[in-house]
Amino acid sequence: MLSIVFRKLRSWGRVMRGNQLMASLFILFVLMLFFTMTSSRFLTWDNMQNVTRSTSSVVIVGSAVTLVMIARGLDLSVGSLLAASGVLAASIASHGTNLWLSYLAAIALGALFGALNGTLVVGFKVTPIIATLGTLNIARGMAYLVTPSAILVGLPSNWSDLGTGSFFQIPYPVIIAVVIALFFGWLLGRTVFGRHVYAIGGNEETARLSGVNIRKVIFLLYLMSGLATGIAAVVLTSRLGSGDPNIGVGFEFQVIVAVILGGTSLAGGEGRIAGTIVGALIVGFLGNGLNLIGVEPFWQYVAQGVALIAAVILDRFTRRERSEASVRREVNSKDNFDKTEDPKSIGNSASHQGEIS
Amino acid sequence: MAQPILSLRSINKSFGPVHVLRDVHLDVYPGEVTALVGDNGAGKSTLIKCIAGIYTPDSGEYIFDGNQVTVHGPRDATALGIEVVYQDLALCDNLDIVHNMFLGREQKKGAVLDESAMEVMARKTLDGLSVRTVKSIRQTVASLSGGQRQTVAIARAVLWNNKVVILDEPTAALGVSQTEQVLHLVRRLADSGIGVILISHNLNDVFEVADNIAALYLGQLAAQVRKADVTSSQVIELITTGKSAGISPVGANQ
Ligand SMILES: Nc1ncnc2c1ncn2[C@@H]1O[C@H](COP(=O)(O)OP(=O)(O)O)[C@@H](O)[C@H]1O
Ligand SMILES: [Mg+2]
Repeated sequence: MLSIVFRKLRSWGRVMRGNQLMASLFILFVLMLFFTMTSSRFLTWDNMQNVTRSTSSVVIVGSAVTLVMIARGLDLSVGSLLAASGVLAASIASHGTNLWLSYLAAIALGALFGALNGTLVVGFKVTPIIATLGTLNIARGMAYLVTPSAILVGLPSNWSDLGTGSFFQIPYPVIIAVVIALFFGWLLGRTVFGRHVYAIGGNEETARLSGVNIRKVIFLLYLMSGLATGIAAVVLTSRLGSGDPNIGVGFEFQVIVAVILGGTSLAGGEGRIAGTIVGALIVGFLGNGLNLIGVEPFWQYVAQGVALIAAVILDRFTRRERSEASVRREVNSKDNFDKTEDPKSIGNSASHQGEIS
Repeated sequence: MAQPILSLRSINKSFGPVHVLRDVHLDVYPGEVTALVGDNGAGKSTLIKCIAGIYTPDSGEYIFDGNQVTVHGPRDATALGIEVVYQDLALCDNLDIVHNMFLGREQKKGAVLDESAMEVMARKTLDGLSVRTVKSIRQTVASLSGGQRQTVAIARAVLWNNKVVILDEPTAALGVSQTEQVLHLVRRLADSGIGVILISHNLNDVFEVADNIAALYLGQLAAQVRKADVTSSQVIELITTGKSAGISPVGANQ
């Protein structure tokens, strides 16, 4: 029974692998179709603006994290960093500093944490999961140190312009997210840097021996992840109209779900920004739709958890063939090695040359 | 005989108390295949890592193209025109053939990759090596056979007008016909004027393609001889006992 399920999953996986982006789009389409049929409030211009506006932070951070994960890294600190950068901006602005300077401070803090993550991973060789789990807690603590509760008073009147305004009906956050996604898409697909990101994810040692400056690339990836989080923090706190140290709990989870649903391989080496955008929209519309049809928020956690696990299982089945092929190669080469290792067999090799194949 | 492109003289290398290479000499001539043979643990890998700049020898001379040089890292070796094709680490499975051939040395047009220029150069190099077996140079190397992978790895080394190409067991994982193909490629590589060092466990391969055979025994050069001057049983003796009747030790072929 289970083996039939596995076989089905694997053949589905093959199809998905053939066109990863189409598969993600298909899931998004089915999801939207379902909610359109079950809620009259789902497919409205207002709701579309809402969802895309709130999904923009996931797209901004997810674009950077896609590169990190293609290079076999991980950044768990983004959710807490969102809060720390956000409250820093709000705190500075509420003391009468220029709005744009406070935004800049938030982005700088993001970059600082990104550099810290990069230094821990590259310089101190801490595994990404542990390094960014540590900075996750540090950033959350800093957010509460800046302000134990949400900063509401003293914010300038134009505080929320960026997060809530729009240009010809298109929300500013969406425009910012598109620009950032385009940048990372360009970086990943068209530049030497992007090529090296794929190479590191494919085989780090090969990349190093080929002259790729692995340490520099990985450091820059974490730096960019922090920078993107700083930008997302500005957009988000502006939209929310406050500097709240409690925001972003579970945000890292949404980002990772979006990246994996978008087709980035957990084993590294594969992934695209377009996929991450679709993944982020799946996460966004799933939460929104469940809300609209009156499902309790607690169930949304369950739904997201299920989505992540399903995506990871699919990922495993789609990559299985590749890893099996490489294992086969290894075994093969070991066989030959053993056969010829023994000096006596070298002596005889002329007589059983045919065996070596 | 032409002057060697690469000469090592009295190379010593220890790891702590372990004296791995002892006064090793090696001459590599342009246009020739020099086979490096030896039992497991004889020091072959250590020797090529010294050549490639991954290890720095404790003492000895490293003469390249007639000049004594010092090589402090892989970049120095690359700059001289020395390329190593490592056994398992030559290629990234997830990248296509063109990207693999240019990895670490990508061609740019402004800030972006010049894909079409790289594609043209890659195709020209493969054609120049008379490689006809790969269908599309835009397929990922994961989809290639073992022989095709070695072909791409070797083509990568050729692309940069290298003077010395070191191949670490290029046929270890291959079947008979693919081994044949790769050996032909190795021969063509040498015929184009490159000095090729071939590490191999398989004496059939060595006798088929090499001009020169250097045998290491317990970290010492047992002998470097011309293929025409020895039989395969003499080479086996060199590998297993470090000497062979009728072959004078080190440097006799100069
Ligand atoms: N980094 C190292 N540290 C200590 N000993 C080493 C190191 N590398 C190689 N050796 C030793 O040097 C000897 C030669 O190894 P190697 O060059 O790998 O031989 P081969 O490639 O001919 O099989 C072996 O005894 C090995 O244990
Ligand atoms: Mg070895």
